Amino acid sequence: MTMEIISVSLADIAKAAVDMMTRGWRLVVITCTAVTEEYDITYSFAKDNDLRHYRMTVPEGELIPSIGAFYGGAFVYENEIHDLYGFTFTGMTIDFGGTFIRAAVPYPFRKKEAPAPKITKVTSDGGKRANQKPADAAKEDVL
Amino acid sequence: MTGRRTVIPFGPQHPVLPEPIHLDLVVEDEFVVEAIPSIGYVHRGLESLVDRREYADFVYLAERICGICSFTHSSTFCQGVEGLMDIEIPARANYLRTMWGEYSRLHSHLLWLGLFADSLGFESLFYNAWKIRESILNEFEATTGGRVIQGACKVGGVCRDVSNEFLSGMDKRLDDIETEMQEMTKVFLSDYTLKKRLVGKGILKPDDAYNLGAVGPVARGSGLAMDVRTSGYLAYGDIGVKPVTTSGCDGYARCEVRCKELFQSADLIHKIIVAMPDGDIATTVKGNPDGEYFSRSEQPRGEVVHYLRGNGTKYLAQLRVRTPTLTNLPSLVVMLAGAELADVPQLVLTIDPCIGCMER
Repeated sequence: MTMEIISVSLADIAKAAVDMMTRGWRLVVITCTAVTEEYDITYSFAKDNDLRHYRMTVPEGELIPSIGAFYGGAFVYENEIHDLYGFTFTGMTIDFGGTFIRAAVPYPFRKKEAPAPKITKVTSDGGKRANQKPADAAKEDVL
Repeated sequence: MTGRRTVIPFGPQHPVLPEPIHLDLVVEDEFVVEAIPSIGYVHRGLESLVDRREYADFVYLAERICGICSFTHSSTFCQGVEGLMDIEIPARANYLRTMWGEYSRLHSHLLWLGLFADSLGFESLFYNAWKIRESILNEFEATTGGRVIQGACKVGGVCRDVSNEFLSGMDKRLDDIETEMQEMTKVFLSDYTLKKRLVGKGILKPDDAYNLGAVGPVARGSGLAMDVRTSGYLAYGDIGVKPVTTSGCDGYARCEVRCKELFQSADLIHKIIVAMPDGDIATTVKGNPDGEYFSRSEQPRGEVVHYLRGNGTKYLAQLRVRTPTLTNLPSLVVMLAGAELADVPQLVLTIDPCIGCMER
């Protein structure tokens, strides 16, 4: 069982899919992984007992061409990645419009933004003003 | 054909569905023109817990992805972590995992056969299949302590050993189970009503099966000799596996594959028990996983893939599970096109859908 990962650009993924299809490789899965700043989208293909992966690194919100025209089963993975990570695939064979996986929050697997650091102000009134709402504090500053 | 089309919602609640899936059936008269599936009723987001549970503890969560092929999920997850950490587990642990994996296949196929008989109203056959399944669950309980969730796998090996004397007893009891299965499968494969409802229904041609990514009995029922066990993972390399295939491409062929796989699994268990090596059942695990690994196994429903990415800490950075039902869904869409409306419930069952497993 071999596992080979090949980097591919966004523009070349459709070409790679056609190539794999004509050589008799079946689509196993499309995986989305959050990396430091961007996302890895990995297309895994199998033939006999060998696995081969094509991987592209894309920023959040990038439009990705669907490979559904070559692999009829790709729509399940593409809709899933759309619903969990928020990527839009153009030209999907079946587009569920965000209702394939009905999550309670939109795009639950998308990278969460780091919460803003909490700043504690030390003031002469023992922190009373720091606990006020920002708008009230600003009003008091003007007065 | 009148040319007038109607959309009939099928599911998420339906008498033949133990778990929820919805299909929009576009019908013309009594024939399905198109079926559009939608899921998401039982999505639990289990994969996202991987960065909040230590990898050694996550084995028990991975096991809960599915209540039927639970053992295979835990063993595939452990196999992935062991692949990341370059751990070689003891031979006895490998054999025990293989044995429990095959018992899992027996129990899953018997469960499906029972549910299928029930969907046709064949209650006595349903009771018979589940009665035999009880014997399999008893073996699970005796060897692991659990009937459905076994908790027997851990990173580095297995948690429980089975004495050689008890294994000999299992070997003998399996002979009796095989005799009962022979009687039962005769009915499944030769009963007039069952054949009437399955032969020539839900056709999936080999090319379609391959291009749509079908796996397991769905692919093998269309003549594709695809079985991850032939890659030789666990002890399959030592005992050897030949995929069970039929060329009918219909619902009957998928049922036939599952019936024949019962005896294949029993045969594999006999071989495993005879060849069971002595020695340790686990190895000491040190360090944390780093890198990435695609772990593959053959579940009762087909190929399962666990993708793991480690970051050198005790928490994995990512887990992605691709279950067989998810990849068999596009094949179901093709099977249903052109089917009679009355056959839809049985055709949905022929892919042995496991929705909780599919949605994780």
